[in-house]
Amino acid sequence: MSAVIRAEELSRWYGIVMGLNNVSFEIEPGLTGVVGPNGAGKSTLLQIITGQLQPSSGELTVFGLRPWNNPALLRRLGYCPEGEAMPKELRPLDWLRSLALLSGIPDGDAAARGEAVLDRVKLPREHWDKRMGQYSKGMKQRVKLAQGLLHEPELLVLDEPMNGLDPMGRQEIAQTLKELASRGVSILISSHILAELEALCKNILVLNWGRILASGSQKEIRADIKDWSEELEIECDSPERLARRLFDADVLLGFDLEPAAGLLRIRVKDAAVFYEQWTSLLLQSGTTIHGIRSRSRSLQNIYEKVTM
Amino acid sequence: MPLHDVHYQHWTGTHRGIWARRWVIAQNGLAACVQNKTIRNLVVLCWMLALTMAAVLFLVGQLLVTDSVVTQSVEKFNPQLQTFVRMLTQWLEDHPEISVGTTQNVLFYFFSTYLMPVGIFVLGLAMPSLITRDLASNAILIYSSKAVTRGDYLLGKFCTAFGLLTVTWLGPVCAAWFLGNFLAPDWRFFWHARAALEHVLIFGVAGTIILSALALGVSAMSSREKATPAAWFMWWILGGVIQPIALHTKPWLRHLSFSYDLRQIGLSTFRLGDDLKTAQDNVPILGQMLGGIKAETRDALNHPTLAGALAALALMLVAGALIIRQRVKPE
Repeated sequence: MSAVIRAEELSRWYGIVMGLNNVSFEIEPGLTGVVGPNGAGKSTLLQIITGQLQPSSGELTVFGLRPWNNPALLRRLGYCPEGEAMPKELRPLDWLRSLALLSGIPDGDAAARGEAVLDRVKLPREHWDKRMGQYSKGMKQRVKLAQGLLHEPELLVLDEPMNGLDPMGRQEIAQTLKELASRGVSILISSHILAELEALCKNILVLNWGRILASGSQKEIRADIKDWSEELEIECDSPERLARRLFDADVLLGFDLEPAAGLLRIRVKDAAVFYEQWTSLLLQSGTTIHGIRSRSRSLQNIYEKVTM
Repeated sequence: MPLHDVHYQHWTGTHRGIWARRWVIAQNGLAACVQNKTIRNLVVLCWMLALTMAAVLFLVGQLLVTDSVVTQSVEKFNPQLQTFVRMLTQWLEDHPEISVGTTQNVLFYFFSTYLMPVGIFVLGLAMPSLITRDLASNAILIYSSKAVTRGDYLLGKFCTAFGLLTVTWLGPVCAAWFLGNFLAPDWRFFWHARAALEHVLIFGVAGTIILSALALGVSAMSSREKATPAAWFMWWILGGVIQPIALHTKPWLRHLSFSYDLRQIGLSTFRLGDDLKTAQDNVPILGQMLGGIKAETRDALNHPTLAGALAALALMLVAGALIIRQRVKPE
C-alpha cells in the first residue's frame, strides 16, 4: 500500500526552538493517530502537512506532492485546527458557503454542501441561524469539522477534534470519522484523549520533543517494545487457585492478588505461549471467569512505555 | 452490519478558477464592509457628490452656449453683464482646449483630492474587515488550508480595499466626468476633456493601489478590532497636523503624511501650474485676477515634491509588506 504521507529528515524550528527534529516516517491510508504531550510537535507536523508551514529542512510529501504553496493539493485535504478558528459574526451556513467557493466548488453546489456537512456532523438545525459567536465549544467544534469535510477531501487532518465535546458528541464524531474512513478517506487525528484514539486508529505516531518515538500499528509497536509484556486483569471466583495454576505452568512473570474483589492481575512471560495454553490452564484450575481486561494493550500503556 | 453514509464522494466536478476563488475573498470582505451603516451612508454621499459635480459641469457647459438658460439667467439677473457674458461665451467657444480642457482639469483635480479623504475615512472604518478580524478569530488558519495561497488571500483582501476605494473615490470621480460631459452641449467635450480623465485615472488608480496596500499593512498590525482603525486614523490625522508645522522647520517631515504624498502625486499628474499659466496668459480678466496668487502657492503648484513623496510612499509600502509578512501566517 503506498503511503499517503511521507517525511524524510523533516525538521522545523522556530528560532532556536525545535518544533520537529529530523523525523522520517510514512503514514498509510486509513485512520492514524498522532500522540504526544503538549509541545511534542504534533501541531507543527499537522501544519506542515496542510501547507500552513514550510519545513526548515528535509521533505514532506502528501500524495507524492509538497503541500507548501500548492493549492491543487490543498484541494484534496481537509484541516480542522485545534483552537477556535471561525468568524464569530457569521452564521455557519454563510461561512461554509464561502469556504466551499474558496475550495473551488461552483456557486450552485456550495450552499447545499454546507447544509449536507452540517447534517453530517450533527449540528442541530435549530442552531443554524445563530451567529457562531453564540455557539458552545462543542458546536464550534462541529462547525470546524464540517468545514474540513466540506469539499470532500481525500485526507482529513484533525487537530484535537474531540476537545469540548460531551461524551455523546465524541461518540457521534468518532462514528462519523469511522464512516469516512470506511469510504476511503484517510484521516490523521491528533488527540491527547488516548482512549479515543485507541478505539479509532489502528496506526499511531508517537511524538515527543519534536522526535518520532514510534510509528506503525499498535501491534507492531508493542512487539518492538523490549520490556513490554502482556498484562491482564482477570475477574473470577477464585483468584488464588487460578494464580497458583498459572504460576505452576511457568507462564507468568508476576502477579497481584485482590481476593476480596475477586481480582487477579498477571504479567505474562510470552503472550504467544500463554494464549496457546490459556484455555486448558483455565479448565484445569476449575475457576469461573467473570471478565478479562488487557491493561497493557491500551494506547496509554504503549505511550508510557515509548516515552519513558 | 453498520449503516454507512453512502453520500460521501470525492468532488469530481469542475473546480472554479483561482480568480473566482480570490474574488470570493474580496467579495466577503466587501459584504462585511457594507454591513457597516456609516460606510453605506458615505458611499451614498460620494455618489451624491458625483452627481453634484456632473451638475457643475453641466452649468459650465451651458456657459459656452449662446442664449442658453444659464446665460439668459445671468443677463436677466444683471443686464449690465450681457456684453461681458456674450464676449466670454464667444471667447470660450473659440478656445475649447482652455474652456473645456483646462477647466475640467482644474475641477477634477479638486474633486479628486477633496473626495480622497472620504475614501481614506471609509478605509479606516473597514480596517477590521480586511485582515484584523481574520487574525482575531484565527480564521486565517482555515483559509490558508483551503485551495488558496497566502498570496491569493492577500490579493483578495487587497481587492476588498481597492473595491471600497473604487466605490467611494475613483468610481464617483470617473462617473462625474462621464455624466458631466454626457450632459454637455456638444459631444466634442469628451475629446477636449480627455486629459482630465487621463489624469483622474492615473492619480486615482495609483492612489487607490497605494492606499489599499497601506491599509492592508495597518489592518495586519493587530488582531484587536479597535486598534487598527485607531492606528490608521491616528497616522492620517498626525500626518495632517505635522504637515503645516514641518513646512517651515523640517520639510521632509511632511512626507510622513501619506495623504500629503498622494496629493503631490496628484499635483504632478494634473500639472495645475501649467493650467494656471495657460489661464493667466489667455483668459481675459480672469487671467489678470490669477496674477494675485501668492508666490508660495504658485511654487507649490509648479514644483510638487514628487521624488520625496514617491520615496516616502515606497518606504511605507515596504513597512506594510514587512508587517504583513510577519503577521499573516499561521504560526
